[in-house]
Amino acid sequence: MWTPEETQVVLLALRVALTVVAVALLPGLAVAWVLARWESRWSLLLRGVVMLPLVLPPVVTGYVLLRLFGRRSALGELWFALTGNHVAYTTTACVLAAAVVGFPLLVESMRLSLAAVDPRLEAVSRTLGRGPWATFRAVTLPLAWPGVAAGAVLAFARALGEFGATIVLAGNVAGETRQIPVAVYTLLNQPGSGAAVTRLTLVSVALSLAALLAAAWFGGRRRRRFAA
Amino acid sequence: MRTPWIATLGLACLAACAETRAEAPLVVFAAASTTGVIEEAARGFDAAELRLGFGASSTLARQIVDGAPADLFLTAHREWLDHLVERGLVAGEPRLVCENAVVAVAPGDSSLAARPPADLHELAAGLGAGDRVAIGSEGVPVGEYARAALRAAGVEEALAPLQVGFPDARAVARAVELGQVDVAFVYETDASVGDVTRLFQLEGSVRYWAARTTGGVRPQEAEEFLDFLTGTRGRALFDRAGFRTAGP
Repeated sequence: MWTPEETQVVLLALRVALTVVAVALLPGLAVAWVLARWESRWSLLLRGVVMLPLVLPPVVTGYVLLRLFGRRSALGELWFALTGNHVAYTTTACVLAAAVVGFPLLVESMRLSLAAVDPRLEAVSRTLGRGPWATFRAVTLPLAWPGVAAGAVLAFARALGEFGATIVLAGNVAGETRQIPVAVYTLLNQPGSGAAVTRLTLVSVALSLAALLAAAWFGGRRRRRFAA
Repeated sequence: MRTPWIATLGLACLAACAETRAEAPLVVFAAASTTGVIEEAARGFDAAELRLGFGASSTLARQIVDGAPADLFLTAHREWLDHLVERGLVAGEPRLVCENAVVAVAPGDSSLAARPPADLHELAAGLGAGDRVAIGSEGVPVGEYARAALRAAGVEEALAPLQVGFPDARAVARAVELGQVDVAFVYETDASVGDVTRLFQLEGSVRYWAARTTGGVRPQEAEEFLDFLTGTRGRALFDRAGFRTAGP
């Protein structure tokens, strides 16, 4: 039978994934724009740093984050002074871990979409008197939005699946950090928990598939837009 | 010329496989808390080559049920031995190997270590929202013993929202060693790692059992290794690591 704990796990996962998108969207857009429009060896370095979590073992990313934001770290102490809460083993840690690991997917999708916008269109807008920010809002973003949306959906899906960095930084706190992968992992380590594992697995597959289909749909919109 | 080369290579691989098959090592699955002792025991045991697998007893039991090729299972909780017995996966008589205890510990430089609480009630009274208690997650023996003690003391509800579950006993000890939690429930034998202060011992007995599995391919050597662990030399190793045995 479906249990209240499983509802809690799935709702927490959705809440964390939505928060990740909300928190990472604007910084992601800014970084993507810089990478799409600015070419120098420094942008190459920036791209490397942004992409790093995509290839680093997530457990290593988690350990780096734990040393950076855990207790007894400068940033962790600063966060504690500001909010009165620790980062390690809290929902904040879930969001941080999933945001860092999902950031490359977010940025790359947005970067491709922004790079495909013809700079001459932006130049025309500038000659007609719009400033850089107004041009970005009136010309660049409307043309690039499917890629921006696809990036957001990919980051959302990646957050739902995040395990390695999360288990290290956020641990396994029922109701606060126990999302779908950690819940499945915990159940897998308990002999005789087959049915619960199956239920969460089915939910996980359904959510991930829905997110991928959404990303593909936005991707299709992007291609049609630039083909026209 | 190409085909014979590949054929030779294939035959060599087959031969290698056959060879390892003939001299299959004795595979021992042991509770993570016994890692140091079992590694030492393996060095002192010459009747067979050993392959060691460590983890939470619950994880190991699950792997054995799923067909992992273990000859011997050493568990920190009788529950997981019985789990295998029920499924007809245990051969021979299970043996009591050693005893341990669960203790509450805190990072050495924490306020809890400076003014140590005397028991679970005092500990629970001193902890609040945002504090973190490291404990073995569901099924992991070190966590099951701790939860039983929390239940018996009536503080289970109070501490439940603060608990961070870890996958085995060593991982719990590691969290408190890194200073990332306020309190941890670890085995006595793991309580002296790094800068960690022992607060008090929890109620309840902790017994380690070992048994041969029906799926094992080296029953003879498995039985010999059991004899070794429960014999004078084995008991001395456990005693030296802080476990309690029947004595030399």
